[in-house]
Amino acid sequence: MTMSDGFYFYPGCSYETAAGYKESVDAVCSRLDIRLEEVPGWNCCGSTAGFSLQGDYGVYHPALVMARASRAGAKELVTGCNGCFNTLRKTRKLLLQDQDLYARTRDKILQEGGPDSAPQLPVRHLLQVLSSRGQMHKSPLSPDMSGLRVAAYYGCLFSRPWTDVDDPEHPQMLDRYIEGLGFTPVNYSLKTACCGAAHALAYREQTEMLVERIIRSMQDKQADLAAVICPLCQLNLESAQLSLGLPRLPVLFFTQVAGLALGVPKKELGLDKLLIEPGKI
Amino acid sequence: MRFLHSHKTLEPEHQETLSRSFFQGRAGKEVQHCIQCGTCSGSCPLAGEMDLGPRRVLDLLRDGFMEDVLRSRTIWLCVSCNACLTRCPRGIPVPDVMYVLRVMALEHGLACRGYKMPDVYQGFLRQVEKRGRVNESRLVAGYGLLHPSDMPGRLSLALRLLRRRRI
Repeated sequence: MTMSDGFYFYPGCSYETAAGYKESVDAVCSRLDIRLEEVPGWNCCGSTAGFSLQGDYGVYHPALVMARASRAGAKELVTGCNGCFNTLRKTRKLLLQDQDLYARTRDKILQEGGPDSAPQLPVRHLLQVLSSRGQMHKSPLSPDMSGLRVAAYYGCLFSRPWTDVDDPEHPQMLDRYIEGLGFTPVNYSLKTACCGAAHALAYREQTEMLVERIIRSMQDKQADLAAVICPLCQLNLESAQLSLGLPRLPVLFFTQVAGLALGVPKKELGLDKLLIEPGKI
Repeated sequence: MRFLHSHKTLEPEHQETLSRSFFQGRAGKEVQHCIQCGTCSGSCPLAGEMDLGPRRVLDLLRDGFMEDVLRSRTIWLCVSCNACLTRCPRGIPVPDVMYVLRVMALEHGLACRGYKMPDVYQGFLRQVEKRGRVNESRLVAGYGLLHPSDMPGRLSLALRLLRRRRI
């Protein structure tokens, strides 16, 4: 089954340099026959910087992303970054509920020769897309693989307000996905705790403290590895472990974990780009 | 001379104007519903590092202490994780409150250089406006020029990323 052409992927700025995210998304999607068309000429969503410096007018950059996708023929916009995901979902809501903001944003984009804005365009996370075809990768794992304890880490922006795609305090989507792949999901308490996001640059000590709590909470429940759904979460979770000298827990993208279950050769999953090598697998 | 310590520069009328403009906005209107339960401060991952917690920010705003709020480190420490918004019984979008205050603080030159996040955000948005996208290495380098003392700790990470062909 091939996805229809209306399915557009918004990689976001951190995708390319993320540790094997692109590699594993490509590998997994090609095996599941999911076609991810990249949004042509996409721009940065502005992230929290846009809102911090422009207030609600921070919707401009994400609105431009949606407009560009829509012009290219998108029926749905898909992203694999929690920051982009939340920003786009928030923008969509704000534009639909605030006529004035919508008009001003639309005019600005049009004045600059951009496409007409498309606030109705549905925005989904790649996890939602892959989860919805969970049945397709039910293949029995080898005993040593199915015994792997995987800690699903959602980060703060996937299920919290503005996105409304899962329970904000106890999201389940990634846990069920991991289970569906044949691994053992780990129940721990900090699945949605914040990794520090962009503050890791300016407030390193403070954000490393946040990561330490998250990693220790996973390790307390005997996790073998963490599965994440956002490039910045991956980088923060991995790098803080090294600089704090914590007992190491590999942090993989959920698509790398899916690739392992699908029997994709490790070389194709970009596992060599991880800072903490996943020794057990 | 001791009074100089408080660094107050805004005239009372000016504070009133700022306060009015804040409460006319989307986030400001919501702040009126705050019941001061403190769930926001209790949920905030960085409350312990703030000079005012989010609950106090909302309280001071309603009492018109705009300058104290605009000069605070708190408004720049908010990571926008939305934990407070998730749990607020009145649904107040506290991160959006912080955004509005950031815009005001910068507009009136009240953001202290040591808060650092204004430099991160400005460097970020400058790239978006110039190139359409953000290059993380360039972002870190630009920030490093402004805050060199933060860089030694980042160097070992940069080398590790380089070795794995991630930058």
